[in-house]
Amino acid sequence: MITVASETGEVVPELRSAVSWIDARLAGLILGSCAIVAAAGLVQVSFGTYTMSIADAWAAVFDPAVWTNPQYPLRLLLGDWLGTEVARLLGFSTAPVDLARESLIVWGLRLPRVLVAVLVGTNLAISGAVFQAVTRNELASPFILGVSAGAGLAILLTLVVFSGLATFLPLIAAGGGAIAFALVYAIAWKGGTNPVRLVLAGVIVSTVFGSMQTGLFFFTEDLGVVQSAISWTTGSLTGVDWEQVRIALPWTVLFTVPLTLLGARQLNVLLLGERTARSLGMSVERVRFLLSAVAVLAAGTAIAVAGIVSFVGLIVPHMVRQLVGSDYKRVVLGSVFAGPALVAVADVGARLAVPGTQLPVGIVTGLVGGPYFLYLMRKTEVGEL
Amino acid sequence: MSKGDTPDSTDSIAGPSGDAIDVDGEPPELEAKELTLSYEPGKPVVELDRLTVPAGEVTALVGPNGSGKSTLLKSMNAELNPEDGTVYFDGRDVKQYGTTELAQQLGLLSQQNTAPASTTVRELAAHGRYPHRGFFDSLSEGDERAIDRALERVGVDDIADRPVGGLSGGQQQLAWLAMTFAQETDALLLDEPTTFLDLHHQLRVLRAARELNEERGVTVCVVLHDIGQAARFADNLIALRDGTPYEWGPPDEVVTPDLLEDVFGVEAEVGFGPEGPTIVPRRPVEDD
Repeated sequence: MITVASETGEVVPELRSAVSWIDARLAGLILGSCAIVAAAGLVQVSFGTYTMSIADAWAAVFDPAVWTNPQYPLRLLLGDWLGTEVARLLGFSTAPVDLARESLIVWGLRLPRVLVAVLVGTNLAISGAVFQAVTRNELASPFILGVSAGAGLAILLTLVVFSGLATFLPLIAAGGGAIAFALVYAIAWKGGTNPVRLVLAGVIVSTVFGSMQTGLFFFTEDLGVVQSAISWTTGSLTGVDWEQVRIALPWTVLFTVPLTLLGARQLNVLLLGERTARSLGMSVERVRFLLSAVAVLAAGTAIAVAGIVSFVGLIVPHMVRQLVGSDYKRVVLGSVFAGPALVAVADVGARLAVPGTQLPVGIVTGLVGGPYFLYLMRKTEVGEL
Repeated sequence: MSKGDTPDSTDSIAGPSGDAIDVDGEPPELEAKELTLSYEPGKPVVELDRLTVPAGEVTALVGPNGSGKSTLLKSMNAELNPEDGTVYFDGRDVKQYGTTELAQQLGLLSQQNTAPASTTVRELAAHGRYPHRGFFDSLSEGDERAIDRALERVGVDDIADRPVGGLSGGQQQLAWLAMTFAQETDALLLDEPTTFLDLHHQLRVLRAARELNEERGVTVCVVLHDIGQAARFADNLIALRDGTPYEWGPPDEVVTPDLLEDVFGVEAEVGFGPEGPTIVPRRPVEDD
């Protein structure tokens, strides 16, 4: 809703118009999502080989010994060396800290999993939102333009053929996705692109890469490699560490989220159709390519830390649109918060569904996502979907 | 306001009445010279020596299906690069305009449009300000005023807060027209704006375009299906046959039984009323 600035007063109306597009429903969505993430996070940190009650977990998260010692979280966030240096620069104590066992487990081992779930959810959700606008197709997902097939193939090639490079797997996976995306763009380009050609090119590349992936599976004899490949290609948060937080956080905070929020108006105009966007003075091809690249970067960030988690990018923008309408400023901001909520909850499910073992989170998102999509399809009037 | 002043977004909105964002005195003219348009090389869809869309007037492109009307319109908007020849907008090759620069001066309403269903009429109209806003700018007060004016001119201010998804086809088209009006260009191209509308909304679209032309001197070029409607509405007609102008000029001179037979393939009677020619089609002419 656009508010017309009142004639009296200068600063207040300006401030008000800067946030006026955040309406009650969007605010509710944001707060609700935060609450869900917090609840799921608490459940998550209380489970594991060393069991503790939710209350213990809560106490550990808010352990004053951690919060009064900024050097400790800084070291976790930035790595040992850099964290210590930054703490010293900021004038915090760098003396060794003695923490309770619960706090060490929760902060050192379990919290990163929640944080990675949040980062993965955010990136996949905004990536899906962007691709749905760029292709003008509400069934588009971050993986529609060949990204998942490219990443999957890169993962298998690394594990099966070039096993020496396994340490660089996250980078290689994200790179494979980016290469597949470039290939899709090249195939779709004929003096310009259009959404239909892009989607078709995505199908072509996905099909070929998918077959090659399956072929590689066929030639793999080592069961451990197969399992590792499966957990990468279905997406898993098992065993993630602060290292993964350090990989994904900078990209998310500095690039993918701000760039997508900035691009929201362009996405709104793209949604009016290419001809209209052009007649309004947009360089459609350039904007479409750059926004797609941001979306691939977001998808790649998620893939690098968790593998290919399906359905989040498809479903979250849908859920958000149902709640806040189709203005992309609201859709993007809503997705930034709703994505983490979905992944955090799904990851709790992945941990608790089968006692004694942990499922890859991608299996849970797929199991939850499918029926939700069916519900959407039934609920929406015939003809729209 | 002096001539030659660039239509820079907010500066030109200084007029006290708020209604006179004027074009710099002289509205732009569109002119095509030695033009060949094609989608595939060697298969021209439009070929013409010279054609003018006069400044500050309403010109209708008419002709049967496939005669090249919409193609010609696309070349005027630099959407389609000519295989040969040049289209001049305000004396300059349209290809030399930057996309934003052209969009500040030349608007286009396409034939069929879809917007996300929950977009309100006002939000849609606000997109018309796109070429006037910088990447980081939010809507200025000047933008808001332009949007208000556009909504009022088109007569959709009463439904401004309703989502377009819930509107009739005719109301939706008016909302889109409001978007192009909010663009506040000096010239406007309308590609079959009335084709899918009921009679009431056809007339509302045409009336709004006519009023915009009369009040702001905007050059309007419109593709119309119905030659009778075109004859009543436009100052000039350009009748296209097989990609070539068959005749052009004021409706009184252009609309003749011969033209209707040669271009449209119908035998018709043409009467002359005070409001231009009236056409009564009788029967189709058999192809030979």
